[in-house]
Amino acid sequence: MKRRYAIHPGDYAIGENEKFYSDMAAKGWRLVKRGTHLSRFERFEPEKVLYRIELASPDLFEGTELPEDKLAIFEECGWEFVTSCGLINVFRTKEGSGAPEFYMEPEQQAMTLKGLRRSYLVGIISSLLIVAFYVLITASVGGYSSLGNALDSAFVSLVEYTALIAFYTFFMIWGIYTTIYGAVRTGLLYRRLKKGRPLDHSPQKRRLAHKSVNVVCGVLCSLMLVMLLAQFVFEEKMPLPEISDGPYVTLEELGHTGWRDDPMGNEAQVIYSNSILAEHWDVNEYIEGEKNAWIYEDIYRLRIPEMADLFAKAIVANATFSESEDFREITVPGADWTRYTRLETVAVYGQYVIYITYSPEPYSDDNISAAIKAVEAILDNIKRLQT
Amino acid sequence: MEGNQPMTEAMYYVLLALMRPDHGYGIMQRIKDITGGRVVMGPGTLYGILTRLKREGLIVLQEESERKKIYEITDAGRQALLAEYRRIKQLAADGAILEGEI
Repeated sequence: MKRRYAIHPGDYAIGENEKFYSDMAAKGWRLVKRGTHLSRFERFEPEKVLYRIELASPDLFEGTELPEDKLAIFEECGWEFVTSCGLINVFRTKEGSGAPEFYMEPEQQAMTLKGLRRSYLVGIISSLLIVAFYVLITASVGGYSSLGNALDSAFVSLVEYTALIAFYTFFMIWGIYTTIYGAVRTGLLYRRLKKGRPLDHSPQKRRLAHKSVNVVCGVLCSLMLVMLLAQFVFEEKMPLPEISDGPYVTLEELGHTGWRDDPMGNEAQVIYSNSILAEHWDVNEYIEGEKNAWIYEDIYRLRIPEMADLFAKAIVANATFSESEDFREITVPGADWTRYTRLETVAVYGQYVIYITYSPEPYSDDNISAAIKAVEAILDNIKRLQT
Repeated sequence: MEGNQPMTEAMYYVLLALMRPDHGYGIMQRIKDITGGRVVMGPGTLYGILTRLKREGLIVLQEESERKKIYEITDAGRQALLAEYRRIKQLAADGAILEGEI
């Protein structure tokens, strides 16, 4: 048996669904099963069939199945039960069979929308709760003291994993839009029926605006998903060379001698990844010798140079070891600006943002000259790459 | 009935049909017969009305098999139907002055 699947209209679009199934039957595809988003069809002779939807309208916490005796009345009237999903129950009858329409008076059908209206309301409330919960979690966990900090952290993630954040955002917006749209359409249908205007079983309205929103959201989500996969697939993890060949610096170049170790389980390596907004080199190295030293480097090359300033400030606000008020302005020749704390240094150079956590021994409260030297060395490497 | 509101046409005919105990489809057929095919009640309408009449105590379940429920009218239902019949009759009688117009 040949079968196919198709996306059906949302639950709120009763008339559109009925027409959709009738049209499919006329093309030789008979409805077999309705799921949440997809319907399954099987190949039959094309036939002229009417489809009608009866909504279950259960009380709170009651099952959504239609009662047996109700089904029996529908079937005795000539309506064959086909499938159900959630509140939607689909019946069919041959065109001209004489089976009566479900409702004499539209007002009676309006009452059956009660369950559907409630389900959309629950949908809207739960999506708002999810957003509120997400904001609250981001604002309170992981040391974020305020919503502002959470935004800075979100901005850093957006630059590093643009596709992931964009996908998540578009997907959420799409979901919330769909729920609100469903609630509005159900409300309008309810008012129409209440006024005594019967349901349109064969609506012709094309609703281009709504369709465009769906197409745009669908395309954006798929695109972001592809970009996200590409970012993970093309991420490169390489052992760190002795002498840098990228826009970063190695401890050897900074004058440390000894042997590389990985006391924190991190082999000296450079991870290169490419997001929509930036290229990112993530370097870490630890040297044990006469004098121990370690360095973490995050070098970003932003595709939009104007963003560098803002992004560097978000990095400062989001620094691992220091509060943003601990940073103070220092001057590194060549850099647009540089901020420094005892461990961490953030600098901007054109479209580059440099964030290093550098600890040369002996530990001292003032590593300022070492930090300046490291940033200068990174700038030299960047300039060498540019020529 | 809620207060003394007039019944809907559909409720009136369902009560009328249930002067003789019957199941859902039978009720519909009877209504079609009584009205000479003028009132064709859909299954959704009928089920909604049966639920409501049952809740209001105007009909009760007389017999129940797996898929079929046979309903019958109660005393309260009979009284409500009679009251409605008298009301409609009165309305028609009052309308007699229209006879010359037709």
